[in-house]
Amino acid sequence: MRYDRLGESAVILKDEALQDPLSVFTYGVERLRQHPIDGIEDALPCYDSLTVYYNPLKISYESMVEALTQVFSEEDKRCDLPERKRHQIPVCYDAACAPDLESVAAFSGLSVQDVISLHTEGEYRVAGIGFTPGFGFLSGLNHKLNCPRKDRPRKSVPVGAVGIAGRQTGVYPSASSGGWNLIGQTPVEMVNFSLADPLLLSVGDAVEFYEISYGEFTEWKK
Amino acid sequence: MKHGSLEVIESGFLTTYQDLGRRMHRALGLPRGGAMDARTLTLLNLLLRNERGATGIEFCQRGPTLKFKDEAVVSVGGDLCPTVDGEKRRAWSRMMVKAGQVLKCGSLRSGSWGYLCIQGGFSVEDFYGSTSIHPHLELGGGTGKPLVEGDELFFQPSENALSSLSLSPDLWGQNDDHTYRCLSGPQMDWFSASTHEQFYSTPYKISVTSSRVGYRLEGAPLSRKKSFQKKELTSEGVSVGTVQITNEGQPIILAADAQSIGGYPKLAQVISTDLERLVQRPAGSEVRFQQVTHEEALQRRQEQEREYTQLEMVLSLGEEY
Repeated sequence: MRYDRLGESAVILKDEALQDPLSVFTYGVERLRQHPIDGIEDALPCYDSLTVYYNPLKISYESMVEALTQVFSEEDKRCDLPERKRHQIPVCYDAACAPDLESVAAFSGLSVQDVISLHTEGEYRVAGIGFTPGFGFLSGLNHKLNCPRKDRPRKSVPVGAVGIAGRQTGVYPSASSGGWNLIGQTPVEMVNFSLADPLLLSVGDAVEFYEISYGEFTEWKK
Repeated sequence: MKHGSLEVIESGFLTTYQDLGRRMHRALGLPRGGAMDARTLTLLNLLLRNERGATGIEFCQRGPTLKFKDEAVVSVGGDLCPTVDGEKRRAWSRMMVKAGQVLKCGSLRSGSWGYLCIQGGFSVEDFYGSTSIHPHLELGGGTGKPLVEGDELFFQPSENALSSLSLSPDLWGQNDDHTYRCLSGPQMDWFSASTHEQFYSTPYKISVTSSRVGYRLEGAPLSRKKSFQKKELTSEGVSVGTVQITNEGQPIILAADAQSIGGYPKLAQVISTDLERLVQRPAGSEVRFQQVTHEEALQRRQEQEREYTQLEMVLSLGEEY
């Protein structure tokens, strides 16, 4: 396990030897939640890394690494994770909801229909939550759909916009700025802080997209 | 005990509730939040014998004007000339404001972020571990939006009488050599030795586009090593104070409301005690960086902690006589 310090109060963990780092790290986060270590404040899994945040006045870096090494010992790597949720997210790929779909198709040398098929056939996993509250970074995008993010990010994307960039896809939970290519839009709410469980997605969850028509999209939104 | 209240007569600019930010819940995608200049908020709270992280008010340049419905003791900082019913008072002092009186914070003569703290702290509903308002997300304490004219603010009145006392403005440490200490970042090996040299020897200018989310700096581009030109960083955790380098080679220093995950390479990390000073510099100012070791960074943090603890002790002793 490699430990890269991120300033005085955080460290990024990575282990290239791990087959499934996301599972190992989400397991570690659960372990830390159940058996908190005094001084360790937060742990954030994302793709193949885990960033641990701590208070250097309460725990020394060396003690913390020792404690984390214990959490991630051989024994633990083989444990099972709790059951993760599976989500099926409806997406409208109609031109009105997908301003960049044509340019993505052109870039990939595919038809618009092919892009939609490849996107809906994918089996994705939530690899991290960040960027904005509730924004889930999904891994598992078909490599044929790889495309660079936009040169000029939009100042504001529609709520529920579905984007792709590089090897990632995701849904914008709010009208934030956004640099990803927008290929669809979902009527489903991704975040709602008035609920006890505010986020639809959690790290490790499985996600699939399915196509709905523009009519169904507008009906759903009502 | 019944809450005391006051009314916002004039809101000032970007006036928000702030505490020391949240320590958890990055997994929800929430920013740390909290005061940009945690040192000023802490010193004012210590002066009022509050919890260090008691909710105060932060503003950008121009502070609010408030009409007090109930008596309270407040203090404001940095470089301000507050008045109560038109009468001059001092920043960094305990100010008694009687029911019916109007406190005008005024505008900062220097610095970018000013603070108002109240004995007992402002009463604001906690949002996942903090009362901080994140203006760009419209989330957080109260309405999630900056305070406006007509808003009614509540505070928990205290039974403890406070003697009149003030802190020296020098305590804040206005003597600033405009050089900020940094630790190496996780992607430092993406950049050559000469780029490092450049970052630690040439000045960068704070851009007007800077905000609570991040401070954008302008200056000589910091280019990557040839072998890292096209490399894409898989998104990973970031921290307040992280110095990211954009594709154009310009630094962005992540601030209180920054996102929790980022994909730009991280060249350095400004240490927390120095970031609190840096963010007070106005747009257009020049900043320089100095590399330090982890030992030095920890020492500096511990020094500040000792300072707070000693101040706490001195102020509590003062009340016994």
